[in-house]
Amino acid sequence: MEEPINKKIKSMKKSKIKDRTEQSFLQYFKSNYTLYLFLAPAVIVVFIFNYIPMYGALIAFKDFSAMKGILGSDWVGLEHFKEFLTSPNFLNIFLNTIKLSFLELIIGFPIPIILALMLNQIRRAMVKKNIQLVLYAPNFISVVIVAGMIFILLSPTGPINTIFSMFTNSPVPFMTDPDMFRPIYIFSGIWQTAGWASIIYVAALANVDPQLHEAATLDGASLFQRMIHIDLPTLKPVIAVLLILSVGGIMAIGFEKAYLLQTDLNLPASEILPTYVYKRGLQLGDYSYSTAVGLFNSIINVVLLIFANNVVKKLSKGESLY
Amino acid sequence: MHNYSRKDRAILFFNKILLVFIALIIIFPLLYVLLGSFLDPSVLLSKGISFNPSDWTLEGYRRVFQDDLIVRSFLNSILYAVGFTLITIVFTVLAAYPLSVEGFKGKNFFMIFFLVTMFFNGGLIPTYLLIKDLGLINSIWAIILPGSVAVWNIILVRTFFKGLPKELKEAAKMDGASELQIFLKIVLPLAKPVIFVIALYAFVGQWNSYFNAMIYLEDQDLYPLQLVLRSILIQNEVQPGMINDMQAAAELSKIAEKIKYASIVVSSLPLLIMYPFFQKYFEKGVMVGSLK
Amino acid sequence: MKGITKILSILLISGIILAGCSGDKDSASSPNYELENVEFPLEEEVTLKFMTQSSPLAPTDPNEKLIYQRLEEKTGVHIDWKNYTHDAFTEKRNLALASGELPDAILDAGFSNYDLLNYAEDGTIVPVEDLIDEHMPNLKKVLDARPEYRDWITAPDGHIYSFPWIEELGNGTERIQVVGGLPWINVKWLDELGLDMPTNYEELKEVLIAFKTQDPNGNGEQDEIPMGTIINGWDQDPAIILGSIGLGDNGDHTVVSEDGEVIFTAMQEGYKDQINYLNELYELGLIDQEAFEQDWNTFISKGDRYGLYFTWDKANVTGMSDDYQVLPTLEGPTGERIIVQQNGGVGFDRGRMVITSSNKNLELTAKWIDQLYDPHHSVQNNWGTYGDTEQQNIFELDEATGMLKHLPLEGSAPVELREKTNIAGPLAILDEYYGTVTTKPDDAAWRLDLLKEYIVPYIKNENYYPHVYYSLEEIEELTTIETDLIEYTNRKRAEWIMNGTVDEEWDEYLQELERLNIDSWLQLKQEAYDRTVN
Repeated sequence: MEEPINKKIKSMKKSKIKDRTEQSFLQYFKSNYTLYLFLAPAVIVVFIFNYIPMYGALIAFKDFSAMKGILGSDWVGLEHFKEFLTSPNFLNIFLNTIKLSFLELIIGFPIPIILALMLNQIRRAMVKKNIQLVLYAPNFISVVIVAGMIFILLSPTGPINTIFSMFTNSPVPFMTDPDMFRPIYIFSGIWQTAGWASIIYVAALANVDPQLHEAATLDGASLFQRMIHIDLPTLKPVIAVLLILSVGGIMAIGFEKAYLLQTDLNLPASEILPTYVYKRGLQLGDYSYSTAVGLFNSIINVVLLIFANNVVKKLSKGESLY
Repeated sequence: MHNYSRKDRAILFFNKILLVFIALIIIFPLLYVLLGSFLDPSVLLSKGISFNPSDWTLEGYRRVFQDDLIVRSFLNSILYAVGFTLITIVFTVLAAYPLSVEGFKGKNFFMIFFLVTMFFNGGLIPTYLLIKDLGLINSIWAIILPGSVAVWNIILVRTFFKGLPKELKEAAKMDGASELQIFLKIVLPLAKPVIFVIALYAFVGQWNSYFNAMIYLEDQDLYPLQLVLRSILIQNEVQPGMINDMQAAAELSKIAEKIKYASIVVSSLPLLIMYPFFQKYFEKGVMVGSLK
Repeated sequence: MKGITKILSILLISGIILAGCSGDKDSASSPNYELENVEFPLEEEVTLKFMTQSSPLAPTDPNEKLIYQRLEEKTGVHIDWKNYTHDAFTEKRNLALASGELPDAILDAGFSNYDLLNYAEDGTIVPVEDLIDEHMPNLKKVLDARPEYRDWITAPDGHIYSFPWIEELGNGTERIQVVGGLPWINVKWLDELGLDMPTNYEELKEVLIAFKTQDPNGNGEQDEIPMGTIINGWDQDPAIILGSIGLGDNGDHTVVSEDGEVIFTAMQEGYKDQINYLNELYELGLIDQEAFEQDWNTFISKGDRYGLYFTWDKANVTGMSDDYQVLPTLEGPTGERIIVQQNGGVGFDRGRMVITSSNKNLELTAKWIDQLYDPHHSVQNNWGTYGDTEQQNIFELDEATGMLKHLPLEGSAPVELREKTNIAGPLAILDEYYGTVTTKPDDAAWRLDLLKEYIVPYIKNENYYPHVYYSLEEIEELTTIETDLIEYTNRKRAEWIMNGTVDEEWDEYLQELERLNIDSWLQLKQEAYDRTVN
C-alpha cells in the first residue's frame, strides 16, 4: 500500500515541478519580454533572408524551371550531384578549394603575430606609430582595387617583371601560370590584411607588465628568450580566440577575390567551388546543377569546420568555436 | 632598462631594418600606382616611372572627374557602408545582450538558430527570388539588410558582455532597474569599444563587396564604387561619359589604361587619408573589445 | 527607454511594410490591348516592355537612339526598355528568366541553341512560325527568297522559336566571314630595313627577328613587338597563317574534309608542327609577352608597336594608314599555300530576338518586329542611321532613289561608331540589297577585295561546319564535353607555345582528350553535320 502512495506523491511532485517550470517560463517571458524584443530584429532578418530561401535548396534535387516554380519543378533526385561528382573537373575544383582555404589559414595566420612581436621591440613611439600607419593602410583598400593593382604590377611588362628581368630572360607569367595563382592570392591577402590583423596582438602586448621584462633581464635572459617566455604566453589567449575566429572564417573563402584574379589560363588552380557555382548558375543558367554544387560546398564546409574545431579544441585546451 | 647585450642590439637593429623593409614592400605598389596616375600609359609601358616633367599629365584625373559615375558611385558606396554599419550595430548589439544574460531562457535555441545560417544557405537563385518577391530588387535594402546579422559578430559582442563585471548589473538590479535600463545605462556605455570593432568590420566589409550590388541593382545610378571599379580595372570597359568625342578604338583603350591608375587613386585616397585620424580608436577598441 | 522601443517598432514595422507593399504593381510585361488586324501607325499609342543590351558607349536609354524614335513615330508603339550593358546582360537576363519576371520580348537576346530549346521546353518562350506566316510579310519574304535560312532557324522539333540576324556580304568562299582575322604586317618597317615580304615560315621568322633587333621604328629603343596576338583569341590568334602546316587550324579547331568528315585539328600530327613553330618564335622573344592573358583593350593599346598582328580590320588597331598590309599566304613545308576557312557560313545569329509567354499582344509584337526586317530598317539596325544632327552619321539618305549611302568614316573606327547608333536587333540584309537599298559599307567592300586577292585563291577545301541546330540532348552532351575539352585544348596550346614541350607531352595529351570524350564529341558533330548538309 505504501509504495503506490509514494509513487503518487512522486508523480504529484513531478507534475508540480513541471507546472512550475512552465509557468515560470511564461512568467519569465512576461517579466523579461524586453529581452525577447531585443532579439526580434536580428531573428526576423535572419529568418527572412537566411531561412526562407533555404527551402529553395530543393532545386538541387529538381530540374528547375522558372515556369513551374521551385515547388512545381520535376524531381530528379541525386542526378545533379552524381553529374558533378563524376565530371572530369570535380576533383580538381574540390582540391583547389581545400588547398586555397588551408594554405591561406596556415600561412596567413602566424604572420600578424610575428609582426606584432617585431613591432613591440620598437621603443621609440613615433617610429612605431609611423610604421604601423603604413602597415595598416592596405586594409583600407578594397579587394577590387587590390586585384586591379595585382594585374598592373604583375603584368609581363609591369614593374615587378622589369625588376625580375635583370635576373631572368623571359618575364614570369604571373597571371597565367596556374602555379602562381595560390601564392599571389595568399601573398596579396597577407599584404592587405596582416598589418591590420596585428593590431590586436600589439594591443595585448602593451598590457605586459614591464617589471616582468626588467626582472628577466636582470636574470640574464636575452631579448629572444624574453620574447618566447614573456611576450608569447601573454598572447596565447588572444591567439586562441583569433584562431577560432579564423577557422570559422575558413568557409568564407572569398568568391569575390578569386573571381577577380581568374584568367583563362590560371583556371586549373583558380577555379574553386564558389566561382564554379557562379559560372554554372548565373552565366550558363544551370540553376539546379549549380545549387547542387553549392549544397555540396556547404556540406564540405560543415565537415571542415567540425574538424577544425576539434583541432583547435585540442590545441587550446578546451576553447572551441561554440 | 637599456642594458641590452651586443647580440640583442644586433637583433633589435635587424628587426628595425626588416620592419622598414616590410613597410617599403607595402608602400611600393601604392606609390607606383600614385606615380603612374600622373604619367601617360604609353610612357609607363615603354619607360616605366619617369620623372621627366614633360611626361607628366593630369589627363587621367581629368577624365575620371569628367564622368560623374565614379563620384556618384563613391557617394553610393558611402551610403551603403554607413547604412549597413548602423543596421549591423543595432541588430547585433540588441541580439547579443539577451544571449549574454545569465539564465536567459531560450538561449540555446537562439544560438543554434543563428549558427545554422553559417552552414547552410538557400543558394543564389532562391535568395534572388525572395529578394524579388519582397520587391527589393534595385533597392538599397537588398544591399544593406541581408548579411547584417552575422553570427561571429553576435558571438564577439556576447562574449564582451559576459566579461563585464557582474557587480555592476547586480547593484543596478538591487536599485530596481529594469533590464532595459541596465542595458541602456550600464552596458551600452561600456560597450563602445566592441561596437567600434564590429562597426569597423562591417564598414570595411560592405565597402569592399560588389556581388550583391551586381545581382540586385539594375540602375547604374545606384551602383557602388566597387562595381564601377571592377568594370574599369578588371573588365576594362570604358565608361560612356568619359568620351565626349569620337576617337579611334586604340585611343579609347589607351584612355582605359589611363583611367585605371587615376581611378584607383581617387577611390582609395579618401579612406587612406581619413584612417590615421581614427587609428588610436582602433587600437583601444580592438584591445578592449576582443580580449575579454 | 521609450525611444529605443519606438525605434525598434519603427524598424519592425518598416520591415513589414517593405515586405508587404512589394506586390506586382509594376509587372515586367504589358497588359493585353486586345488589338487585332493591327495597322501602323496605331491610333492610340500603346506600350510594350522589352529587354535588351547595348554597348557601354551607347546611351543608357535606347529610346535616345534615333532609330527607335523614328520607329515609335512610325508604329505608334512605345517601347519600355530594360537595358543592360553587354558585360552585365547575360547574368541579368538569366536572373529575370529564372524568376519568371518576363518582359514581352528580348531584343538582341543572345539566345544560344541550348537557351532556345531549354526555354522553349519549359514554356518561357513561344513558337513563332505561325506569327511569321500570318503577320510578318517582310521576314517571310526573306525566308522565301532563301529557304536555307528557314531550315537554320527551325528547331529539330519543327518549331521556330526566335527571330534571326542575317547579314550577307558575299556568298560561299567569297563571303566576308570566310576567315576571321587577317595577318597585318608592317610594310613601313620592311622598307625601313630593306627587307622583302616573307613568303614562307622561315622568312617570316627572319623578318620578325629583324623587327626585334634592328630598331625599325628608329627611336633607339627596343620597344617593337614583332608579333602582336592574343593566343586562343579567335580573330587575334595566329591560326590564320598556319594553314599551310598540316591541316591548318581555326578558332574552334574543327574542319570538315573534302569528303565530309568532321576533324578535330588539335589532335592531328601537323598541329604539333604549328605549335613548335610558334614556340620557336616565342623563345626568340618574337611574340608579345602579354599574348596569353591580355584582353582586347590591352591588345590594341600597343597597336603601333606591332610588326605583324592579327585582327578582322586593321582600322580598329592601327587605323587606316597604309603602313600595314595583308601578309600574303605563306608557303608550307609541302610547297603549298593553304588557307583554312572559318566555320559557320554567312553572318547569322539564330537567337537574336525571342517572344516570351508573358506576351499578351502577339500580333502587335510580331508586326513591330517585322518592321525591323524591312530592308531599309535592317540596314540601319545593323550599321547605324542617317540625319542625326548631334553625332556623326553612318549614312546619308539619297532622297531621289531612297538609297542609304554610306558616308566616309573620316577616321572613326567603324565598330565604335556603329555601337553608338545601331540597335543590333533581328534583321536581314541580303546580297541583292547592295546597289538598291544601300551601298556596301566601305570597310566591308574593302575587306571583300582583300579577301578576293589574298585569301580566296588559297582555299583548297570548300567544306566548312555550318550553323547546325542541335537537339536539346545533343547540345547538352556537347556542352558537357566542350566545357572541359576546349578549356584543356586551349590551355595546353598556350602552355606549349610558351614552354615547347608539345612533343614530350603529346601522347599524354591524346589520352586526356580521350578521357574528355573526344570520340563522342566527334560522333555527335558528324551526325549533326550529315543531317544538316544532306
